[in-house]
Formats: sequence, structure tokens, C-alpha cells
Amino acid sequence: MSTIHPSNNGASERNSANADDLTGAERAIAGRLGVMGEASVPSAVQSAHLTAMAEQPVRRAGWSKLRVGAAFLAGLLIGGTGLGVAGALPSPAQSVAHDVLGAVGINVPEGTIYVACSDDFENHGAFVSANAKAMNEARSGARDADEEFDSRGGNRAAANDDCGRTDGVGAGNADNPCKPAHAGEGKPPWAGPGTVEEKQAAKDAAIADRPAECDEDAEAAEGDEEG
Amino acid sequence: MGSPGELNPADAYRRHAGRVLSYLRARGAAEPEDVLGEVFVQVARDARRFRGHGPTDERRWIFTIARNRLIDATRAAARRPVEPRENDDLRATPPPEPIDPALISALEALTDEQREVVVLRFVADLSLNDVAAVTGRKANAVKQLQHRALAALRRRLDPIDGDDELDLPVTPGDRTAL
Repeated sequence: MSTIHPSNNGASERNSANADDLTGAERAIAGRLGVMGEASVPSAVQSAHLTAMAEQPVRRAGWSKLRVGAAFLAGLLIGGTGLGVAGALPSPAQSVAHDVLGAVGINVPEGTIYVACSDDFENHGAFVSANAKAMNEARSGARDADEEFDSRGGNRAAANDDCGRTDGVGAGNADNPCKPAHAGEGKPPWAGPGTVEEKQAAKDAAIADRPAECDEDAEAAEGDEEG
Repeated sequence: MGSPGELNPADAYRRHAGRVLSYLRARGAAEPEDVLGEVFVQVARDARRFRGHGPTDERRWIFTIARNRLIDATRAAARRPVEPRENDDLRATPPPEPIDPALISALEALTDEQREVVVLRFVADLSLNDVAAVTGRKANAVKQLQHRALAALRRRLDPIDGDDELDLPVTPGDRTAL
């Protein structure tokens, strides 16, 4: 049975040096305290401790930070996926979750569309507007019936739908024959440098290129306004 | 002990366990041997994180761990109801040999701050700067606490000669001592 005694390591010398600025009485007390520090560890305790220490896995430096970071990312992923599947994300995030998680086979609702698409809608805007109106009516009905109603993502889903869209979406009125040929391509030919005569000639040429029915439609519209 | 991070836990135990145990006893730990075990288990676990050079840094690092584990143990003991222990094999060990009942009693009369400083300084045998680093105080504050602690111990241990210390002025940093 052996016991561990604190190694000297110059302890007594250090204590003496530490006590340089002490009075005689204080130095004596410091000495008594130093003696207290010379306790030994009982061998049974020592053996138990060394065994427990040997069983400890050594932690790598920085490993815990990596684990915290990985746990945070995993939490974000799991939490975000859960909210997305429940349809509880704000509509832009819900739409992103729908696209991203849909790519890996997780079915995430994008939002509810409240009207059926049909040819009755003149364009896409009419469809989105009708959807918003139907959604508001549904919300009012739910409120009257004291039922819960979740409209999150509804407008976004309608906006992302192709109902009412045509091939010319985003091209403005480029296919309108009544528009001049330069429509959507920047300044008209008569804008910018040039003489008055040159500009007027370019303007006349553009008008001459328009089909005759366009002028008739314009005149009829002017007549309606005056009437 | 050459480059940073090279620390053999078993060697560190042999070098420092005695003083750490003395420190824990002097600070009034309820189960000093248990806390000592927790300290060196953490030392073994975190040995690769040690970034110091030489025995001084090693001692300061280990006493920082000891101080933190002691704080944890004190808080845990405060929350835990007192229960009789079933396995008292280790506690059947003889009491610590350098017993100085009068000194222990005088230490108990100090404030926590004073006791911490004076025990780290003279029982654990750390320098003023090391005590400051372990406790997170400035060296001057440690020196002042040490001075007041020694004066208080002197009054307790030697009441006749220690009376001249009774009229020390009170400073803001030492209000808790009163």
C-alpha cells in the first residue's frame, strides 16, 4: 500500500519566496497552510482514480465545437423539414421547402389553391385574384364557424401556378400587331440625335407600318370616350 | 513537458493530486476524494486540450479545473437531499494526516473569497498571478484579499498579537468580508 505525496517541486522554496512580503506572523500562518497542502492520497483512492482516468476516452481538441455545429445544422434541417411537411412555414419558405424537399422525395405542401383553373380566367392575374377572393371567403366562413383556418402559402401557390398564363407571358404586348415594330426594344427610331425632318420621317414610317384596323380601333375608342 | 499539449494524466495525478486534495479539503468540500476523482477524470479526458508549457502552467490548469469541479459539487450538494451512503469503502480511509484543527476552524471563519485566495496561494502553492488567473481576479485584488485573509487568520489563531489588525480600513473590494 503506497500513498501519493505531493511532489516537492520546490514547494517549500516557493512558499518561502511567496512569503517574502509577509510579516513574521503572517509567514508563520502561511507555513502552517503550506503544511496542510502536503496531504497524501490514500492508495485505494489513488487506484480507483487512476483506473477511472484510464477508462476515459480522450477528447480531441476542437471536437466539441464541431459536434455543437453539427448538432445545430441537424436541428435546423430536422426542424425545417418538419415545419415544411406540416405546411407551417411562411409562404416564401414553404415554397422553397416544397421545391427543395420535393427534389429528394419528401412531399411538402406548397399551399392551398381555392379555385379550379378554367378557361374563364382571362389571364393569370385574374386567376390569382379569384383565388385570393375565394381564400378570403373561406377564411370568413371558418371565422363564422369558429374553425381554425390556415391560409399560409395560398397566394404564393396561386402565383406559382401556370393557370391563365400564355406563351407570351413576360413579353408584354410584343405580339400585338398594333404596337410598333420596335416595341420592347428600347428607344423608338425617332428618339435621340437627328434633325426634325429625320425624326418625323421615322415616325411616319412606323405609323405607315401599322395595320389599318389599328387606326380604326383607336378612332372608335376616341369616339366612345367623347360620346 | 516540452511542446504544448503533451500532458500525461497519470504523471499529472502523481505530481498534483496531493495538493489538489488538500485544496479541496481546505475549501470545505463535502466529498473531497470524489471531487478529486472528477478533477483528474476531466484532466485525462481533456489532456490534449492542454496548451501550456511546463509544470507551472500545468498546475494552474489543473487547479482551474479543480475550482470549477468544486463549484459544481457544491451546487449539486445544495440541491441534493442528504442520504446515507451505501458504498463507503473509499470513505473508510483514515483522516487527512496534516490535521491542524485550529487552522481549519480559522479558515472556516473567512469569507469565501478570502478562503479561496489563501488556500490557492499557500495550500495549493500557486503564485499571486496564478491565483489571479484561476479565480479571474486582478493580481492586486488577490494580494489585498490575501493580506486581509492572513490578518483575519492571525486574529483567530493569535488573538492577542492579532488585535492590531482590527482597525483596517474597509475597501470596496472587500465589503463581502464584513
